[in-house]
Amino acid sequence: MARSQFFTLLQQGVGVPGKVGASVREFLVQDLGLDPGYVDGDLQTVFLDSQPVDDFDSTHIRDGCVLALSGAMPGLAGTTLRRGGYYARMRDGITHASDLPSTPGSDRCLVQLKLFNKPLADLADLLAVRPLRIPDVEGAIWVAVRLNRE
Amino acid sequence: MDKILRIDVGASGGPRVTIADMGDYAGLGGRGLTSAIVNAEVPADCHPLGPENKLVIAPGLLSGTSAAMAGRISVGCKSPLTNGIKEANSGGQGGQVLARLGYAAIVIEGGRQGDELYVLRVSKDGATVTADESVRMATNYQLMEKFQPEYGSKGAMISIGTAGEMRLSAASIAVSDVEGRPTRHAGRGGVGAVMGSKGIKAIVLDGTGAEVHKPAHPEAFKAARKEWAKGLAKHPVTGQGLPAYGTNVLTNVINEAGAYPTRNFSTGQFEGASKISGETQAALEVERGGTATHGCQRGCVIKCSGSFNSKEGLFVTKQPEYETVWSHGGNCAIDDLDIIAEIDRLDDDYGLDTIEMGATIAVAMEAGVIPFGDGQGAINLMHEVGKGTPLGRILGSGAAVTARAFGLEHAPVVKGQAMPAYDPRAIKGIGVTYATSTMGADHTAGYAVATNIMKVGGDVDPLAVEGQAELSKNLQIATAAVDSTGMCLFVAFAVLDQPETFQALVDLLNACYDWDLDADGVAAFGKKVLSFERDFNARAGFTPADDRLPSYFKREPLAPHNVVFDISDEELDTVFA
Repeated sequence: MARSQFFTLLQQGVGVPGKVGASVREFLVQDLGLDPGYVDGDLQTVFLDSQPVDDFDSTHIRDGCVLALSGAMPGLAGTTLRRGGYYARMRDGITHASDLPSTPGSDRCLVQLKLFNKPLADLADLLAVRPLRIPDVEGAIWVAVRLNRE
Repeated sequence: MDKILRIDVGASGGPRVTIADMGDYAGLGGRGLTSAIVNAEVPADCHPLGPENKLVIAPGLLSGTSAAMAGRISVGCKSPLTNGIKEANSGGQGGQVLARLGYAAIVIEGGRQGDELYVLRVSKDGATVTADESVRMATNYQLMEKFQPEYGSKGAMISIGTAGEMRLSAASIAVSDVEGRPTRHAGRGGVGAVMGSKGIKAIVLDGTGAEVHKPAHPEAFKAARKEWAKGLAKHPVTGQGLPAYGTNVLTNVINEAGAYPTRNFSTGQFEGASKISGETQAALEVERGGTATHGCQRGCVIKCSGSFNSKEGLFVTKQPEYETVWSHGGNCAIDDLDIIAEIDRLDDDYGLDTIEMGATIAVAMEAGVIPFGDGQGAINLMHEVGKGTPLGRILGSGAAVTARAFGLEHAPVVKGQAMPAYDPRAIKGIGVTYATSTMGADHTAGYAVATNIMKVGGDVDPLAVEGQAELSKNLQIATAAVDSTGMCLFVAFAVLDQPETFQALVDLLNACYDWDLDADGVAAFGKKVLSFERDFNARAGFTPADDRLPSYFKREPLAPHNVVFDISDEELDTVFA
């Protein structure tokens, strides 16, 4: 797969397995294998089901959820959407409230992961070496992406 | 930078040039100066296209110095779009060159005599105004071809295209960029129409012999400048995000937040967002031999712009910005970057505000003039505007007029000016600023500038219930101050997060002008600018009833969050109580 094609796919979202009941932090660190310093320092704008997330520890993944990762964004809107930012009050109507872990129906769940901007550039290679569920003409299929040299 | 150049276009025998010192306006620059002059000299109840209105063009306080990011230029007048005071500012080379020629402002005033068009030339030796019939109905790129041999690489051009000449309310004023192209615009509020009403088609700035503005304290200025540049370079937004993807990096994120106005603000997410995102755009630009990292003026260290080439590798336009990609893209359900780039070129060439035009075309789409998603149809409508057909003149008068002409309630405007690319139902704090800004709906009026550092109006708990109004007020005050310095608003992020970078900005002003400003002084300055503007608007007939969003934003829920704008009128009225 061409790198540019893969980048488009990652912006639209790919399915990644996670552990039922995990917090967003646990998913990012334990399931995705991200460095905790990167999670706290670089993932400045994060959405769970289109709602801005302020606290990685009190927000939990569930089967079928959509998690989008972004760096710090410009503009008043960008600043407003930043995790735990000073201006978070300005979007309180859409903020993801703290929630409880979902009740496990099975051990694993599927998280639709979207990557934008800095995380897209930083994490594409990491995702390219693990099984991903991507959209297909027949619904969705599991693939292991092999990136072409460009 | 201690002179004001005045052009009286109504003088007998043709436009008269006078040069005077700053007088009562000493110590002002950029938005502070344009708003002070308009408030003091323009009758608030005048017609915006009449002889009593004035067009004021002013570089910022730090423009012309060697400080990074300081070259923005403000344009002020009574707006034909909002009927209130207007300040629109632009990047490009115009601010630096005009400041280095020693001018704090150009004021174009008086009533145009006859139908002649004029070209104003400014050099270190003075200014001349010449009638020039050859520029009639010339577009901005045609003006570039004609005048670039004069202004060359050291000068700049400030001009209007056909839209300004026709005095359309969506007309912008173009400012040439580093390459001399007319790609930077004082876009909002119809400032180009006011320039057109004065009969001035182009201002050619000859930079030969122009000198860097010397600070009062060179060593202190040098130290502050170094700290300033260091602060911008180390911040994740100004040092990484903007240079890599430009402002269009916001498309994916605002869309994900459900705050991306789509199909004339009817929903908050666009299914084609990833096709027009900053990430996709940057990759395409590089693939086609363009650039994704470029400054619009010398001295820019953020470099949020770039160049967009055709499939054949030929230059089409500068990198379309987020607001443009949204207005002509998602808001019109168009997901083709080539179409959007072509429309961006037409905006620049005809001299039109991209936000107003995208919002207007979306209104026309809802009215059934063309279907949503019809890219070629949108291009055709742009040509109608640029050529001044009857339909084009309606569209070129903006979203509010177009909605009225087609009998639609859905005009996403405040004070007659179209909303930018953030739906106020999803991000309500921005809605407060849209509603209460002196400028009409404006995303830059209340930017995220260090209000927490400046403590404008005291410490505010952003989590308090009353926080929205207080935050908006503080942001508007801080923004008015930054708009007066000539600094690009994108410095805000570094200033917001890094107290030492905010201090470097204050130090630059103090070293340049021998001032002794502190954070309170900067806040007081911002408040003074806003007081000029609110005073003018009050005398122009504005009341609290004008500080409102259209009522359908309170009534019609926005998907996917199904939220409405529910900030009460009473709370809106507390912003400037």
